[in-house]
Amino acid sequence: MLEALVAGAVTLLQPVVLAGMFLGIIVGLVVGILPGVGPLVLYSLCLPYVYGMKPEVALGFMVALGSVVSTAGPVTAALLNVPGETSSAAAMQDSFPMTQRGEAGRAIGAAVFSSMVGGVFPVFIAMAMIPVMIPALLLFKSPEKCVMVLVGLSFLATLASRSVYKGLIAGMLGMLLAAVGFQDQTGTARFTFGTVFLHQGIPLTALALGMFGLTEILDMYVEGETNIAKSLTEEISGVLDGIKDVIRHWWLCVYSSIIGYIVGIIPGIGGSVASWVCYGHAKMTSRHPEEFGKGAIEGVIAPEAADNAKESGALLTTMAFGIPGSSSMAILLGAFVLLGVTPGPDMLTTKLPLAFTLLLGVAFANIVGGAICLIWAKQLCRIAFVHVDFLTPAIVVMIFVGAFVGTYSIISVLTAIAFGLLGYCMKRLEYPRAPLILGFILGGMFEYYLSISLKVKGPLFFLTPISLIMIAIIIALYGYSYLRTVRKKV
Amino acid sequence: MKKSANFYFLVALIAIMSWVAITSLSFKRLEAQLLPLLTSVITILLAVGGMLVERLDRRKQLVDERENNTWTPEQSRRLAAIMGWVLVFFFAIFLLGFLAAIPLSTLLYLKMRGRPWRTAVTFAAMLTIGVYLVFELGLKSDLYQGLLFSVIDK
Amino acid sequence: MQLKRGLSFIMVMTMAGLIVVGSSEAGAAAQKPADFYRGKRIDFIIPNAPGDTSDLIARVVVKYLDKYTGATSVIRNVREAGGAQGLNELYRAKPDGLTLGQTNTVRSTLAEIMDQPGVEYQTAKLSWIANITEDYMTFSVAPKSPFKTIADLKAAKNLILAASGGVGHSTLTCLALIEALGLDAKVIIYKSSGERSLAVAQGEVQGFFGSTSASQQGAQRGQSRLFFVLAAKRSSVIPDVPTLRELVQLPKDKAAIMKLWEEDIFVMNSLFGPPGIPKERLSYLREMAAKVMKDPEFKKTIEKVSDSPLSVMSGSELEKQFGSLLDRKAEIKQTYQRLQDKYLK
Repeated sequence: MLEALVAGAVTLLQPVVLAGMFLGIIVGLVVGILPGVGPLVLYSLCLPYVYGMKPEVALGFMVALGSVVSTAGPVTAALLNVPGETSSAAAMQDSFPMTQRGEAGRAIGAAVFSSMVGGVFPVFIAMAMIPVMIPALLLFKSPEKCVMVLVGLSFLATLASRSVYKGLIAGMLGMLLAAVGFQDQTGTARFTFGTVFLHQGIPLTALALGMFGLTEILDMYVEGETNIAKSLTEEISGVLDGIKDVIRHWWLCVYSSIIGYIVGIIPGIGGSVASWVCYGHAKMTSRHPEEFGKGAIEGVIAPEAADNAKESGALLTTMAFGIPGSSSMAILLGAFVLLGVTPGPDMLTTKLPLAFTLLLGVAFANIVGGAICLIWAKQLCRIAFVHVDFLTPAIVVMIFVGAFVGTYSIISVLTAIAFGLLGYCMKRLEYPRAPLILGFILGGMFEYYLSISLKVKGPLFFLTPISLIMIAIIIALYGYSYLRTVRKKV
Repeated sequence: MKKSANFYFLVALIAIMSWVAITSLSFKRLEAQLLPLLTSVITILLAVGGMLVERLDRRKQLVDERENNTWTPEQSRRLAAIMGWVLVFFFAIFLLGFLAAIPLSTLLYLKMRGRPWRTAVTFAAMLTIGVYLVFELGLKSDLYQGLLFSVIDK
Repeated sequence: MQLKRGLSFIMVMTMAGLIVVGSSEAGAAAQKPADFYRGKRIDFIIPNAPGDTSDLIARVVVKYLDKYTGATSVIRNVREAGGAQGLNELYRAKPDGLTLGQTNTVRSTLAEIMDQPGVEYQTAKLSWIANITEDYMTFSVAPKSPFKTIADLKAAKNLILAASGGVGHSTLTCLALIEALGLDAKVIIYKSSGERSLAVAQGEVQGFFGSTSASQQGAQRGQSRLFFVLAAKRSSVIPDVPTLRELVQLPKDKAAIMKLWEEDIFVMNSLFGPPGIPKERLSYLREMAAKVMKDPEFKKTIEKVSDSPLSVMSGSELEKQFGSLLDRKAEIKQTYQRLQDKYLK
């Protein structure tokens, strides 16, 4: 295995492979900032061009591109409350309020650096896990996935700010919205009103862009704000402060990365789950949970580390099993096939050097991409002081184009507008929006895995070792959180 | 006593969730009914609970509302203005496509805000060129060209 | 006076415009197909996700079709409503031969037969150009499964079979098998073929139907074990795997259920256009597609993306194939509606 690691590293350092990675990093960073344009869109566009290239170069380019999109996305989220990727929406709950109070640099510094750590650290876990990868993955069946999603849903209550019932209503609404569309398992069209658009369900990108991005635009206009940063001072706080915050909260960063990585390995769960679960978990274990949603630095660090960590996990599953962990990985899998590289157990045995090249490529891309973002962060922060008269049309354009590009349907733009209005009403009535997004992401998944688990194992499906461990951990977590609240009051 | 906006929101929510629950029962299979039925019923219960919480805290809440959360006619006007512009932008995209709607809507907004023509035109042009370069040329995204141009094309 | 002049100017310009557009259309119609396609842009719709096997096959075909026609194809993946949106768009497109598409056509035909919501196209009316690959369905079981014979399957209690892609090809073949063999089984529909394969490897389900090429890849990875092929004769891809007919002699009525899947419906990846493409252009496209299929470079490339054998069916044979299938639409729909209600609880 050591020989394969060295061979993989040597391949990575070939000038042509490095050049491919640099190109992927630059494209990924520039485009990653744009809302709605995530790895899925980028991979689909690049697929025709990689054909005929050497596998290490082409795959290196694509892997680098996908890795840094999660690094650049937090920048738009922090500065404009417009998530570059939907998984950035979790950290946005706190990074944007930080920008509003004039701490944009610190927010971006923390987001990008924790994203870097999340992108690099799990690569080494992935490499160490290679010998046990396949047996480990075989343990996570539908019942375990169902319990994992349920654990995520249990965080709905923690995401509520002042009023628990409002948070739960928002979560239920999100879960209900997830039911809209054509249910494959039963062949039932639910709440589609006979339209083809709703057949596929409500697009998450349009929902998130509307509910967060457009809502803030409406709010800023109605309140007559002149720029995003409400603070009177024009001094831009240090990006370095953000980096120091991550180092100070190193343990939060590390275990959020581990959670993100584990979620990334398991096909079908999706990266947004990792970010939100880590956000909820960070809030529960924080000394100042009341600060979350108002600019708590842990609320930025935990989800960003988790979000980027999933990439190496998903890549390993895709390579080892030929089963994509996400829709963007499905396209990467297509690239593997086009380039004559067959994913599967061979990737972890005879083609192990290539697997190492790609995993090391993820780490490399995150380091370089993160460094570029941090260097430019100070300049990017000035956006927070641009007058809202100019920002408003620019942000609305980004939202509309981002919503359209996700589905190539103009109705997605209307969807974003509708959710923007709903989000505004929710904001005015003090209903938190985060639980709605979490409910939306997890609701459909929960229904799907619950249905399979009941068919496969019956009502006692959760009585498996891994499920019981997860349930025990979550009960312990809630117990700890409750005891701490009681002690505080005493 | 005057009802709060949240009260009316909860009433509307109960009405909508009741419709959802009834519609769910019409789906043939239990698997299809489960999620919408469960979430709508739970939401109704939470909404009723919320109304009770509102009623119990009403005095305190009225004081809070008066201090912090009043909705003024000026805010209504502003909301109508910004939503109006957003909808005009959308219809412009629908009819003319992104590349025509973006400069027109941006220009309209900046003029609404009282910006001088030169600034408005320059900014609108830069934004449009930026979108064209990144999405049309760079990402080959094939942005929606609008109903009018689709008809002409045919 | 000025208004009158203005109106006259507009009228003249409009008429001039109409003449120009009309004559260019007429000119295009009179052009030879080869000259027509040279330098033109083709809107190529793939109703599948990028990276999907059907998508990869289509991209290879597009590359070589452009080589022979001199046109430039711009690919769009339109996969909403399980691909129905892409097919609807293609079906409604102008029939000038400049909008084409390619996909697993059996999937789309079954969606039409089963009246899936969102389907507005009619497969029989499409302009069929060529069939690219032809493959059969293969039944596989979990790697460590105790099932070695049909009798083992019949004797098993509470079998779980996996399918994917909604109530489509793999689901309907599972239902047919359960009915034909009288299995004590149910079907679970997974979101994707990847998840389905994983479920089999994990032992969560006992068997599934997949295309021969995909099933063979799964078997090579140790994720499943090939059991039988659903075809009239053995597949050239997996010649050692017997057909269902070789393993069991079914009564006439049960055999009839399986015959549909063995002889009439199999995995096909086809190239087509909207209804009404002019005859000369359609013939030209068929001719060019035939050249593509014979191109040795094309054959080498397509082998990389799909193990399914290249098809020998021409466009006109495809027309007949789908036409006869859709003539039996009511009968097929009734049968499978009944089976869905019986086994998909």
